[in-house]
Amino acid sequence: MGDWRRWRETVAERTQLREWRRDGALDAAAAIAAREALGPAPDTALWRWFLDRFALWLGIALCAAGAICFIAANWEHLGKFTRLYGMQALVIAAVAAAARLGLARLGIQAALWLAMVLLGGLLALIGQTYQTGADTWELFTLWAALALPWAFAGRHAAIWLLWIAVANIALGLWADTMGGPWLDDENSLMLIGLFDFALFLGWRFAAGRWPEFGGDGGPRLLVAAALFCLSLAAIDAAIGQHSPRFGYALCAWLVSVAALIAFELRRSRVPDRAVLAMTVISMIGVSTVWLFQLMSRYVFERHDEPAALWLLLAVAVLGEATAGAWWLRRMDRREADA
Amino acid sequence: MNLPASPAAESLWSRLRAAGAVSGDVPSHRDGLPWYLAGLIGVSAWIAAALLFGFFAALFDELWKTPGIAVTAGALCIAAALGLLRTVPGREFKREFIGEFIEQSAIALSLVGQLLVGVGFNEWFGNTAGWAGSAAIALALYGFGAQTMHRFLCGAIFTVAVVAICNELDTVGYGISPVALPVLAWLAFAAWWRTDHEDLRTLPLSPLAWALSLVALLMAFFGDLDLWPTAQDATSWRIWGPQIAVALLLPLTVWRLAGVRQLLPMLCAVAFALIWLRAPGVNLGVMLALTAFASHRPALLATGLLGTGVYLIRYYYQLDVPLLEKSQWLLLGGVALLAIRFALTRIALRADAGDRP
Repeated sequence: MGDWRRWRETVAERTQLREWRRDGALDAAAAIAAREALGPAPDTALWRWFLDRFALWLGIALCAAGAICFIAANWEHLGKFTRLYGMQALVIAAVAAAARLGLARLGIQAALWLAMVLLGGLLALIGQTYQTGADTWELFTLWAALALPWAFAGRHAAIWLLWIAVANIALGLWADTMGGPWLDDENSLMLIGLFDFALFLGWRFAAGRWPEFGGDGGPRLLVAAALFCLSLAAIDAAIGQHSPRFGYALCAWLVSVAALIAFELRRSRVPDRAVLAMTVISMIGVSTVWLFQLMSRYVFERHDEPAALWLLLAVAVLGEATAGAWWLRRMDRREADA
Repeated sequence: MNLPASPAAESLWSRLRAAGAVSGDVPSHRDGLPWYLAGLIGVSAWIAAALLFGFFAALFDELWKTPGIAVTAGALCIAAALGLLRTVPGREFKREFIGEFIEQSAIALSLVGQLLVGVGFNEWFGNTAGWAGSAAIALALYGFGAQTMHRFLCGAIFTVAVVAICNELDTVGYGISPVALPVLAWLAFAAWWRTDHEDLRTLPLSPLAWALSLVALLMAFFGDLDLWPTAQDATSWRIWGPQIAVALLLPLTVWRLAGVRQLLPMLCAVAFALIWLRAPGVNLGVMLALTAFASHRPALLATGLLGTGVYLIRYYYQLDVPLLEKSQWLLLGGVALLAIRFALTRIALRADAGDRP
């Protein structure tokens, strides 16, 4: 973590130099002199640290992707049992290495991440071999359930994010399979969005207790996924039917957006502006579609192609974006003053 | 808006003053554009531009058939946008909100203006020349409209025009031309290289480099190479040419960052470029990540890493490479990376042990 912080410090310094040059506070010669005074960056130690992490995680990701492609290729020269036992041996080897060498080391956490992917591959292989299906919701639920203890043991954000992705797919496939009059596309999306929103809240609470949940990457990804699903569901409620539907999807979106803003503002004196920016984008998207539907139905119902409606909506979008940007800039300044 | 310097800025200025690089008091600074704000303004500008386009289309029934109307309306929008963009930075508004609104309206007006002019040009001159005209106007506005987000969006229009021109000139097959990916990747590489020497007082290139990189990643995700070849030309340059062109960028990036005399990194780069030859998205993502780390850009680093991850998922569905072959190359690349990491860790440990008294 020390090297990461050191790189962020060099980032802050170089960004500051760029801003001074942009604002005219430094002339060209002074900017060059300042860069030389700060020395070469990143230095050899930082490069070594970066390449070490990069090679580890990219190597693991490529191995995981390679294993999945290999299973899907269904290579005829390997017998049924060789495949099954081979896959099991790989999973056991990765987990045994993690258990033997201790989970605090990064390489071992990466091995556990790989084991988690291989476990999914093994389940898919079983489904493929015994014709029970390689992409059913039961398979993904079992995968998530079996991998949960590893997620707790691994104590790394990347392992949790992988587990969340598996759980999301399981939920999506379940909703897709169940179907029915209530669980249509709109409400399925809403369900996944609410699930991710709950996980976001859980992640934020866990951050105060366990270091692996620190940092903003995980919560931002979760908020992006939650808002994407909830916004799509709310938009679908406006345009998916003959007339806009004030149903569960719209309510879920409204409540989630309000809860998200309230939570972020109360959580810290300096809330995560990236999360708030995503929320504003979601508000702009959903409100534009709803305004279009409502106004074309109730205000411009006699016009075939209402030019004024388009103009009004454009002004509304610009107004919302301006208000959002102004609000976020004020928070930026408050942080800079602190 | 000018703001007082932060404690971190004061400390940096003091260090530079002590080193003799600067003199005087620490300067105040203007508001920057953090990535989340850039995302908000960019997305809303595109939505507003689409709605304004709807407005013009509803206002003029003959917009599609009469290029003169589209070009005139577009030119007026662009002129208004440029006027506003040139006015706002120099003026203090009673309420800051008004300045922000005018600036965002100007960006949306510029976008819709370029769209309208593009429609007119396509009608007048045909597709290829029309797109070339759009690209030229986007580049001109990039130079004149001195606002970071405006420049990025003009860069995006230029990039889309380049893709369209590649499609128009490449008449074999259908879908997105495979030539578009290497063209954009090379342009992005050149633009990021140039940004190392960019002078922010003249013409910053990083917004253009961002636009080229993002659209190149999208090309890698969505450009279906398998749609192009027929059975008889599966081994022709149409497949290998673009892939080799993208693969070359990795050794070039390492050469730029480490120098040509560093033989080991260069050999590694060449080896990995060959291993990932048939997965151009990996070569592109790694190139962006290395560039980002060297040039202190965390957002670009995240984009490069995420882009590589998303590409690996997408690669599974890319039908031009058989699954078994994919798995071999992916596993070879993964194992080679892990082996190199293992060797480097051992060497570093031994060196550290040797340094100890």
